[in-house]
Amino acid sequence: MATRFNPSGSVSFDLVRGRVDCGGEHVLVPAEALVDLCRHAGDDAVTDFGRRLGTAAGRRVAERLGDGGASATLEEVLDHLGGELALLGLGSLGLERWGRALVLTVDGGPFGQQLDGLLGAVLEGALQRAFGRDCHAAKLVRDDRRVRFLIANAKSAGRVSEWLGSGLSCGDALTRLQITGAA
Amino acid sequence: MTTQERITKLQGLLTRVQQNASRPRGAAAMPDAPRAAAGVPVVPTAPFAAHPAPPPVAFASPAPLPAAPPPPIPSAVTAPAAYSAPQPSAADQSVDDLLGGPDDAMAIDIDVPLDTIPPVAVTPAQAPESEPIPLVASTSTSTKEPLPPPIDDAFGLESEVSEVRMAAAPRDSDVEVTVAAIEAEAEAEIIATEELSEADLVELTESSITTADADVDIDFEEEDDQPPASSQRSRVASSMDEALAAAAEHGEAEHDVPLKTPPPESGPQEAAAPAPGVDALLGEELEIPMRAEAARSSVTVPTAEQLGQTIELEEARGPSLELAEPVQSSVPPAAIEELEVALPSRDVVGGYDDSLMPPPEARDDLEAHRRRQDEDLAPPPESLAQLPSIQPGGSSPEIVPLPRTSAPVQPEMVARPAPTGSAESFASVRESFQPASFVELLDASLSLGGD
Repeated sequence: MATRFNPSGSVSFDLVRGRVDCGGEHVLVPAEALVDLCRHAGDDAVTDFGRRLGTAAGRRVAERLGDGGASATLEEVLDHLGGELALLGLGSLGLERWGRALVLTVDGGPFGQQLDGLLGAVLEGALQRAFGRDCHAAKLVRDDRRVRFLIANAKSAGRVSEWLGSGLSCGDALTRLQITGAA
Repeated sequence: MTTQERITKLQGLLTRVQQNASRPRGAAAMPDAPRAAAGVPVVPTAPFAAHPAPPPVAFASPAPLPAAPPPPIPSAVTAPAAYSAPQPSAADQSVDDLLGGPDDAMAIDIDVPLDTIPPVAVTPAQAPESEPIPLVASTSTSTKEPLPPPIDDAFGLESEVSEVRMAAAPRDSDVEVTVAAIEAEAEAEIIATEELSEADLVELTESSITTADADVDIDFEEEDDQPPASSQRSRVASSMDEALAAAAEHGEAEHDVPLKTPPPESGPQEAAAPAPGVDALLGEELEIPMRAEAARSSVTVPTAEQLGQTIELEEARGPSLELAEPVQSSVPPAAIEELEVALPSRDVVGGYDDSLMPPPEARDDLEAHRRRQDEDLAPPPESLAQLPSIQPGGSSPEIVPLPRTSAPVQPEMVARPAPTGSAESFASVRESFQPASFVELLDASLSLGGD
């Protein structure tokens, strides 16, 4: 059985050498500067940037889960994955199950209502690296503090995005996805 | 000249006169002939120029006369002034008429209108004795020449013209004419003729030379204006002016037509002449009559001649016809909504009316069907050879009474068993998915959408 996430010793600051070590060397970057950078970098660069952040986080989750990662429950995975994102300062991770659909939420992100695509890309990279599945995170809805992402394959993610764009609500889109998926 | 010679001449003259009496008078005299015969030199002076020569056709003379001057005005076709229009027949003329009196020799003004002279168309065949008299102004100054000109010989103009000239006044017809008297008169006449000829020569010459107005012999225009009362024959206009003048005169004389329009039966009528006051009105301001005045003037009573054949129509008899007003119906016309009547509803929907009769072709089949039904219900026929099954005089059937039981008669009630199980059954659509691991949920979520 997997242990709970223990963030002790995850980040080490070497003030003498001026280095931040978090399973590798990290740089503390202001969020606004990163937003400006990602705004000018483009969607593909932001997506790649986010996937790289998520892969690192997923690698660490997988290391912590070890061989029990495949049987890890929802709470365990959520604990470890959420701990890693918290260390990155990307917000609080949540998990919702809508039938057979897996919905991950991020609450209190540093970028506000911006760079949601960056957060989705971090989730995609983390799940892909931790569980070895090709996942696509489709943004369902966002309020002031929370943003929801549907974890599905690429086809379903694209279809839900179209439904949402046509005015369908988040719940209706997930219900329709369940019906079509069952048929 | 001796007396005997004179007598001889007079006798010859008488003979000629008697012979000439039978001749037509158209060729008897010419205007210039007296002068020529009297030895007056005929000069084409102005007064004579006014007297045109006769038409050449009337005197188509075969004898060429070298001394004959052309007619002064060929176009003016009139007869000579000395031509007497009323021509009595030769039988009515006496010698005295032919000779005339010496007192009348000076009768220059002979009122003989030229109009009365008919258009002479004398041909040699019609008047064989009166050959054309040439209009010759003879140069001979005296009639006493021993050899008279051939013209005079041929026509005897020497004395004849003189005699005609002198025979203007009628004589008393009661006086008996004798040869002696004729001779006496002829003698005196010759003397007078000679004297007259000389006098005329002098006078005419002087008068013609002195003034043209002195020619008072004949005024043709005046004569034309005053035709004799006996002239009733229609004249043939010799020129266009004369024809127009005659037409105007005729129109003025016969424009006395009735002012009123004659009835239609009268045929075409001449238009009425303008009112006499029209000329007077032309000089003044014309007043246009108003419509009322015109109506008043047109309402005048027609004359009796106009109403001669007018038929008066009687007034219509009988009652006068009047168109009756259309009768107004007391019932107002029905509105459109009231005209709509609902159709009677059918008592049996989808059924047939009882009053409907079957179609003729199905009637036979229906009768056959009813007959078969009756045969099925009716008992089978019995043979007459056997006794009928039902005998009217037979015994009545026995009534078997039902055995009485002690239990009361009640229906057996079968109670419905109460349902034991729950009647409702719900089919749940919610799939009870409880993933055991995160990976299972992840796989389920990735499997949504058929891929």
